[in-house]
Amino acid sequence: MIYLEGSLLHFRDLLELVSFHLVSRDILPHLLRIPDALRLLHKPELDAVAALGMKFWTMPLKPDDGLGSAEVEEGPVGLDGAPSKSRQAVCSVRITSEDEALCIINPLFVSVHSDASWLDLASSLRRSSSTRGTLRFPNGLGTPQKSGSVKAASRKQGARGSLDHPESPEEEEEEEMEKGDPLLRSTTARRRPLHRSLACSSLEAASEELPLSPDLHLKEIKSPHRVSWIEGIPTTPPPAWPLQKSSSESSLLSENILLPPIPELDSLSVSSVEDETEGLLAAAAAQQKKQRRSSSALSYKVFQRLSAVGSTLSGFLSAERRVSKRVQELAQEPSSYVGGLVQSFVGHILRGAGKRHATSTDLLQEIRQMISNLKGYLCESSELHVVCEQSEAEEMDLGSVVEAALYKCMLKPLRNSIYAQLHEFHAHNGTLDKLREHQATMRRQSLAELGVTAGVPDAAALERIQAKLNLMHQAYSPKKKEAHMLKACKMLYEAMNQAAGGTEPFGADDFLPVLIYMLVNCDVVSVQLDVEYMMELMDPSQLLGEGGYYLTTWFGALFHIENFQPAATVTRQISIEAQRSIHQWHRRRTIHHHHANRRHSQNILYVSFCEPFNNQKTISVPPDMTTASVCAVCAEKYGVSDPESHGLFLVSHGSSLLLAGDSCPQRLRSETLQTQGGLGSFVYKPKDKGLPATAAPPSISNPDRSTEVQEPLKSKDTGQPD
Amino acid sequence: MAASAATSGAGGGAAGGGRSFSFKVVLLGEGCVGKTSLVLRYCENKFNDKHITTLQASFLTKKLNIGGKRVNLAIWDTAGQERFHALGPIYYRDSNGAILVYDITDEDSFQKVKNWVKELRKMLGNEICLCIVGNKIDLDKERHVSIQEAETYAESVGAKHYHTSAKQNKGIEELFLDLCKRMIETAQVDERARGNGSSQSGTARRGVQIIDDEPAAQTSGGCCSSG
Repeated sequence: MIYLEGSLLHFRDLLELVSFHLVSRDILPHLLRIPDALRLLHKPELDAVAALGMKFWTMPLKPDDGLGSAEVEEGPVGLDGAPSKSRQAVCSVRITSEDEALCIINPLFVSVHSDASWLDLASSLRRSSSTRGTLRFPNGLGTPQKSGSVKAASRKQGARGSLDHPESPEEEEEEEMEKGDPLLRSTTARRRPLHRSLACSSLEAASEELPLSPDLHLKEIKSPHRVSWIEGIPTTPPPAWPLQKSSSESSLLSENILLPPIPELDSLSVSSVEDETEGLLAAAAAQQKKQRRSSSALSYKVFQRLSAVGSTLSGFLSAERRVSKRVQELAQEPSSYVGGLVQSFVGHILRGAGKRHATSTDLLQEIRQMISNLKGYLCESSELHVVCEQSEAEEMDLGSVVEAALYKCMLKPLRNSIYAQLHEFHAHNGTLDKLREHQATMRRQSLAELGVTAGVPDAAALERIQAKLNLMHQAYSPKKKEAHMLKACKMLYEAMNQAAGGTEPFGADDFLPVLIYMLVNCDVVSVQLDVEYMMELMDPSQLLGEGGYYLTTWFGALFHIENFQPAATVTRQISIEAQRSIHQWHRRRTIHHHHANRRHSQNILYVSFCEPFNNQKTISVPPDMTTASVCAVCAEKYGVSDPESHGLFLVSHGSSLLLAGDSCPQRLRSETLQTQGGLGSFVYKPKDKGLPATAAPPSISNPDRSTEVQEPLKSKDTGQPD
Repeated sequence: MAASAATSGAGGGAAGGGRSFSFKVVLLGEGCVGKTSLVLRYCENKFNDKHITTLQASFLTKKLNIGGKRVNLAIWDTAGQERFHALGPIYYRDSNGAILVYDITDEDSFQKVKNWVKELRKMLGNEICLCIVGNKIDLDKERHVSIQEAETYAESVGAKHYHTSAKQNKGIEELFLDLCKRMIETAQVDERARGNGSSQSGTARRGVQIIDDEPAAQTSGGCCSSG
């Protein structure tokens, strides 16, 4: 006999208990399925299952004997989901309790009807099912049920959005593990004290839980306990939904249909919804992020949620949603220009485009390029104007809305394939081996040897950080990955601060060693791939701020680990490859940015007078401007009365080279840069001043410099040692 | 789109009719010379909830208005330990300015600054505005780097020299204000150069060949040349 705490309703087994609640209390538009393993179990066996903890969910489920699957058909039936075909959980159900009400919520449903309307919708849905309704709320506690549901939804949202609260790993795993509230309470009015609830007994993980919301009844205990699973991918929106919102909600479903299914937990619709909501309800999300996860936060979040809905209706946000939805529609329509491109490109990458590329960077660049091109096209084209007024487009950040939508259309289906290809690249070139090897070495080092001067995260904190890193790894959106990375940074700072008693903020001197310590104690290989993924795929213009800084720092830390030398020998020079990669990254970052005028600083020439760096002037010199013209400008700038006797010299490494009148300093400069990496200074000075000879032959007299000016220009450069 | 892009000019980018600039400034110097305190002092009252700023001083931002020009500074701190020296380039790449800090009581730290200058000039040429900063002037009694020497050196490499005390909040405002003005000047020269319509980005810059996406840069160069 099992029963819920406080409930008079007894059941023979878990199946019955869950089934009852599913039938009587729910609003589920989808098929539910209880893991077979749970069906036959009674108390002792359940305890055994409980002892398995998390492992239970990763254990292969044995197809059962002739009993068939324990499906409870819920909600509008008629899905052709072929329930037994796939055991992949597409959606799961959470049981949560709040005051007297028990609610079992299908997260998909919550996500789809993420606004208030679903609450009203719920009753009609309930009625649509012949099997339930009668048992519902024997005590008439309708309202708590509703608020409870909303809380559950917003709680989820909160967990996702709260930036500044260290969250427990369990909590973070929500994407993967839907939680069941162990304190299931019956809806019956009568209660009685009792022994542990069934669910509770199976929750080993509960003890690891951080103290969370002190909210009396909503005592959340996280567990890997998945109450029931819904099998199969919904192929059609349940016909019973009376509301078709104009927002992107239906796209959630259709996306699952039209795009290649992603065999990762990330495709649990909740995560993607959060994703979307986070992106679109930027304002609300930002507010929520600030919101501490406290007891009051829960009800606050309900309010937040509702007010977010309010703003959606008020138009501005819905414009973003419309755009996002439109982009996704276009991408899924093979006959449209965008759709054709997206689908063939996705197919192309999925078929292993990496093999055509020499490096992982090239592969990622190809993808980024495609995203940038599509984004540029969509932002300019009329395709989006259909759904959004010009004024609206100006008001919102169209670029980032389109960018986010494109992540969804392209990176979501591609993520796994990209990772597999990245992994292959790095397994081949030995990066991963080096990382693993040095990770092992560095783990054995003391904090002092690692150069750590501040506090480091303890085992528990490391575990939380690892959980954050796991989320970072799972995410497909580079933007979202970045957010997780920043959270991990924050957790590191918190650990450092805790040890220091929270005095001064820490700078890079303190942070970098701690970051390295953290990385060698975590899954450094995944992080390596993630950092590369972010660096290359993120919208380059997004990398200018904090995210760009920390991404750079993570890149640096990984570089340090990869090139770690246990002896005191210091890697003085960053490798050519690393430099190249960094450069490419920065280059794209600026190239894609319309205001990257640093790009054009190559038209600037710095010229000094008589001596390097003396009285330096900046002169605008286009690539094809000749030395003679530059000299004319210099003569004017420096007020030289006898320009004929002056010339432009390239001074480097203690030697100076007189430039021929028909050479082009700007080209010479780039050539020098390319061949030498270094750069000399351009000096305007008298031709004979301090020089042993003037008008040297038009060849390069100094063999030393033959590399500098090797055959570059038509110029007949004249060189003279200083 | 256009509007939003305009407010977030890239490194050194001038946007919004040339009245708004975004600059990246990198902080270099040995550990313990006080570079973190320096920048913290400067940005002190600008803690921003949006960032994880309140816990850290590795990345700070500051907005200022200089003669009607809006300037957004992003200040990148670097780890000064010798073992991380090799990571320098990934931080100072594309910086508009560099602040090289030494401790006036520590001769070695001044030597480190000289090394950085050499490296920066080699890697970035003259396109980066250099500031050499002697910090801890509150400890002038223990000075080991002569003012004369430092200033002469700075001049010889085309850098500006400043004296600061993070502890007493001396010289810091001036340092940043001056740096900003110089960076604006450089950016404006840049801008004018583009305005000439002679912009051609086909050439390589900083030692790396630009291949694939150059056309994008060209078109965008054209569109913002009015700025």
